[in-house]
Amino acid sequence: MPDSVSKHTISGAGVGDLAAVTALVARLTRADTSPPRVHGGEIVVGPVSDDVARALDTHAARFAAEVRAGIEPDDVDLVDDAEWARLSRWSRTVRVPIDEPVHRLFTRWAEKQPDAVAVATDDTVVTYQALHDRAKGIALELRRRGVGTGDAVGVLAERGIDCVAAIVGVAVAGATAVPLDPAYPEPRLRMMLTTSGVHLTLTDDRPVPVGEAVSVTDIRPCAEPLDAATPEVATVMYTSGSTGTPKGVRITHAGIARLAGEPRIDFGPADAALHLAPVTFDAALLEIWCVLARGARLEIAPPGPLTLRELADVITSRGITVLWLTAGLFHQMAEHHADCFAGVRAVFAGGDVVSPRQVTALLTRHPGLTVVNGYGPTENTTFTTCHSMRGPLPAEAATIPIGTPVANTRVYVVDRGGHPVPPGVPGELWAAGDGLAAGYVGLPEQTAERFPVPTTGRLAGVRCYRTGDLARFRADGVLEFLGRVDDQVKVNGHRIELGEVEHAVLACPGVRGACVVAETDPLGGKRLAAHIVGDDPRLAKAVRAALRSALPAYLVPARYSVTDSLPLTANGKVDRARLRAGESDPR
Amino acid sequence: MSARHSVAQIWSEVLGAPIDDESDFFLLGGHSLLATQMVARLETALGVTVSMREVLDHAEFGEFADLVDQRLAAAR
Repeated sequence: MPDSVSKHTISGAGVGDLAAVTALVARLTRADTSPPRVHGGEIVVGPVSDDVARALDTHAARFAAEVRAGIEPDDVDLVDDAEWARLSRWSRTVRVPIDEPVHRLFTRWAEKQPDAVAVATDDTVVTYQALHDRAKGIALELRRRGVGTGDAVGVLAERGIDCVAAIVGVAVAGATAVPLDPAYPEPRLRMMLTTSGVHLTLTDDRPVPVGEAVSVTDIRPCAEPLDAATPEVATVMYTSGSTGTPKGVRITHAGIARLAGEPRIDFGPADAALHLAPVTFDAALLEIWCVLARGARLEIAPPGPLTLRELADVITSRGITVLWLTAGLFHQMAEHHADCFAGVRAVFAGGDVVSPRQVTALLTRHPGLTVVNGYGPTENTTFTTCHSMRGPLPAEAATIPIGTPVANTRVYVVDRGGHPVPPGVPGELWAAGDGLAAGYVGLPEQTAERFPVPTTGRLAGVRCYRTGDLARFRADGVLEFLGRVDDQVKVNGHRIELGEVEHAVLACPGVRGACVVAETDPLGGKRLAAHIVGDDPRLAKAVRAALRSALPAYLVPARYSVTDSLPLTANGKVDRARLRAGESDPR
Repeated sequence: MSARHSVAQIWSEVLGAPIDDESDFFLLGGHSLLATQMVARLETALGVTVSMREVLDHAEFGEFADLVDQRLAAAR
């Protein structure tokens, strides 16, 4: 954060404009500072950051004049034309073609390099032609079973070649993939299958709780050409929902195509890319489609959780040159197995705040390596911005920026009313462009709320996604991440609405009250802790068992405490800060 | 120092809590990234290799320490 100015005198506005200046200060600071006051015949505000002080100097007089002219204080522009031109320039990215969906680009590689390896495990390799033929066979089978364009098809398989073949097959068939994780509890799978309207699920030979299961292991490849129409929505991915119900994000082909076209994701035929991410997460879109659409080789990690050593072995023994790691895992690998990156060309890290210390250490050890901080919510298809780093970072780097927008993507930093704020001023990050999802499955109200189309102001007519993340532009147009506007948290790269976990805890018998917090664990990582109001200490074990049978593992808290009552703040709300480990354990 | 004592110390370090035989790794604050750290520290301290699956299946300290003891005995 920039330095704070302890007190700032507003120039250009008289004391008669106090009401207007008060509104301006509230909009520039998200109402996070004390209101201006009159002192010695002048309006004084503070403390505010340098950037807010500069914005006040630039805009107070104009803002006050527009309010005097009768414009509502909430509707007055916060930027002038010159600033808007600068902000627009920072947001102008490379444009890449998106007419062709990624599976067509994969088909072209299959024609161009049929014998090149497309996917591999530790004991099996599949060429581009063989994977293409398998995918066409799966597509033909789907068509034979009546699956039409845009129909939802489940994919329930552990990490492996069958799973990748099924995902490609669904795309070739012109259907919409709903990836599922076999480790998820049955009620969760049932909910995902039902809400997304899946009638048929491709599996690696396992049952599904709802609808028909078709094992891809039995489907014969098809060598004939096969073409199908491409629907708008490529895949549905579920994220945690604050009201207790997860939201299915309808990710489009255009969104994935623009990701695959992004110049900083420069995978090519000489690359071996790691596939480690669960296919239920949008990082898997990067791993699978940016690799197959660019002619590279996808090296699939063994199924199940890996130890750090096992992961290091996979990276070195398979000759991995490019990979994605969530921030927490990236930090651990950089700390314990830095040597495994010797043959790596580029590592993409993100999903949570990336530590400059680990990045610097790694870049110093491997001067040829590029580390890319990838940022973005699922609703804007995997990445919204990227920041690419080579060589040691400047010593003063306290944080890693999230960078500049990816191809066909625009970003705006806005106030609470959705009006862009002047350069440097913090605000909520909104995204626009080809990466935007089509919305949430079956949730029109939440879709309208999270994907607004402003009717007035600088963004009038632009469909946006409100990320809920706070950010600011640096003077060079690079974005910095500053936190959340709500209580959504990131743990181990997973986006978690604490409300969803609390709902599930409260549903357990014997639980009278609950509060779930994200806290720092003893090794500096993050974890969820559940504080349960109840009478029996054994409730902890029962609640954990109940959560494990209802929620994916990433939503199940790691630490449990049973207490008579939750600590409250002076305002009578649960005192979340006191519930975080080390601050004050209630029992 | 016994192997069991070393294992308890590693658990205590990564969980930030005192450990007894009934201590459950995944109730006391353990999660997948702490489990990978615990396994890495165990390898360094005792030369014992434990898989992530085994951590999940032996979440109580007593069971986990028995598994490590068996593995050490087999290696001798």
